[in-house]
Amino acid sequence: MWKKIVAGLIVGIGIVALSSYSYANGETNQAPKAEQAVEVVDVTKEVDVTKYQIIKPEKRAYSIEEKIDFINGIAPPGTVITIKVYGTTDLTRKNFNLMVLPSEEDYIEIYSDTIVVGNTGAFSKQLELVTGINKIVIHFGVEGVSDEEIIIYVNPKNIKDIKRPNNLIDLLMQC
Amino acid sequence: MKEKLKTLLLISLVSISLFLTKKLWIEFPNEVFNFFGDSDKVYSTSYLLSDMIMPNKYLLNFSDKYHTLFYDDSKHGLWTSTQKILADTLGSDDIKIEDISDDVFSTYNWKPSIVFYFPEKVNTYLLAKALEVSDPNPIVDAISEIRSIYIYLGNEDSFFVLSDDNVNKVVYSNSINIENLKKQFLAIEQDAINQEHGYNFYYSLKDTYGADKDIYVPYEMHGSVPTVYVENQVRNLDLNSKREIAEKFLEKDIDYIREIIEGNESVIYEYNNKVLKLNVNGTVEYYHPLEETVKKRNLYESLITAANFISNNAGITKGMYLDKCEEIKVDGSVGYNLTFNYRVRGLPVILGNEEVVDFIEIEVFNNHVRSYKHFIRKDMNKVVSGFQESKKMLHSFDIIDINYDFLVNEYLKESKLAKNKEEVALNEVLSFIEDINLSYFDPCLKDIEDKLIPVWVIKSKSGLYAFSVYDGSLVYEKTGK
Repeated sequence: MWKKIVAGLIVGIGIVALSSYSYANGETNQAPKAEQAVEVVDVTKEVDVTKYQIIKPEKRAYSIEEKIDFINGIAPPGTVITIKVYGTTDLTRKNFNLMVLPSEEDYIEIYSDTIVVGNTGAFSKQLELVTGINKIVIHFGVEGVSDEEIIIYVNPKNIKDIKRPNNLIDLLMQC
Repeated sequence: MKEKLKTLLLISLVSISLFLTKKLWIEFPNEVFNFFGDSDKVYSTSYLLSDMIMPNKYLLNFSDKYHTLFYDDSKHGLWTSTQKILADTLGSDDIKIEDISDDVFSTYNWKPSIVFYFPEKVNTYLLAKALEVSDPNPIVDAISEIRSIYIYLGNEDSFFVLSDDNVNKVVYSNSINIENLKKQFLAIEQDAINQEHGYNFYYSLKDTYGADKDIYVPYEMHGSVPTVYVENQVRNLDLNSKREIAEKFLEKDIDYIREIIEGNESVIYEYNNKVLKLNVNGTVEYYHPLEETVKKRNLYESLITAANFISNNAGITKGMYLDKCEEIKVDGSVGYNLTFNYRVRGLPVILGNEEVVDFIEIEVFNNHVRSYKHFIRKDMNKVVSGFQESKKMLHSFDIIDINYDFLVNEYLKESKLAKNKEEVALNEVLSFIEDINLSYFDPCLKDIEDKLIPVWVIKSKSGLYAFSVYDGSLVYEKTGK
């Protein structure tokens, strides 16, 4: 009985191991992805860096009051762009500003996103930021094209004292 | 005592079960077929007229960076709040009007403001009358048609900008009181900035990619479009209901009306020279030839006639709006061809029926309705599963991206430029786009439970293209080819 169980286990493990192997093998046999394709082209011809641009924002360091911002730009279709958003470890949020920027060790990655440039040759991303200094790194993944860095200082304004309308009463008052 | 308690318990259980059954059905069967019923008759003509002229989208500008846009204003009632302010301004003696260029006007969207966009140009005098302004001021002469209304909500003096896409008139008046509207606006701004209640940010194609037009698109999309099923109401009517409709339209007892039932179950009713046809395809057609020549047309009178005719005979469908107004001439008489479309759950519906292009088409010659054609489709208010409702939708720039080659081809066809696709710049293609809107497409394939397809509609000079919001596929195309 034990022999049968052991034999069965061995066969089972064998099947699982083989399927993992063939899956990995299949992946590597696939056609090169867009990123790889771009790199292959790059070896044979010089990269035109003007094709990789950030349109918005125009400035590379600025401050805003809200935690949402937007970036967009152009790159050849198929380019895989990685956008990383870093905040700082400054919990008091008082030590850093645009004049006093954090050192590299002070940054912590908030999130990272990958965008594949579509047919329009344009990319865009709405960023969710944190209060204080945020560093955005845009990596085009192409040799010869340098990463873009944007520093955004989120300095929230005082929350407005908003009196929300009581629709019925306000509408009656208005009439 | 115990028996009484049991009876009470039983009654309450029955009541609860009835209540829950009603919730499940949403509407009882008799409420489903109320299109021609009396419930709609409560609307007065002035209500109908002001309801006909409604914006189809609302752009809220919080600052130069943050804008949001919505199609359904029922939640906020911003248009309702603005109507009163607008009526005061259009009737005020104390106004100052100035011209501003397109370039300057497009920078106004960087200031706190709301822009109301109408589906088509609206006659300014008509708008004033619809808002019950008895004696409209010279604004109606300064700009005879309006495509959008801008209202400034910042800290400086308030003003309107009325625009017909070519001419922009800034209107200052002391009677502009925006306090309540501003409160609503600031509350929405706070929710949007805090990413609450599923607001999406919209960005100008002009600012982001240098397009000619100031069209606002989202680059990320939260929320989903409700799943809607519609039905053909005419096919589902029994003969008695059809006869009741005939009596209403022809204003005569059924005993005096001639009835012809066609092989395909369409029914024709005739009395004197009035004809009514209830088609199985879902259309109601009415024809009453002109009895005398109409030498002078009056838009206001014609619209009131149309409003009365629709509310007296068919009833008003929630979400119905005036889409087009064309001048016509028939047998020496002059009048108007009015086209109405309708919204379901706040979104306009595009019909995919080859025979019927518009929801309602009515020819009016001042106080006479010559012809009327109404394609009746009704929201079944069917409850759908949360899974279906949570399907992720693409944003409008995704649609442009997926269909970029197609749009480049259409642009090259329209512009007749001898260029290769590769030579066409992105901003050229984006400038070819006149407008982008979220809508429903009604495939008009089934009489019952016909599912509407949520679409992004791209309008160009040559036509419109509707793409599914879920996979970006082209589901409908209407061009002048």
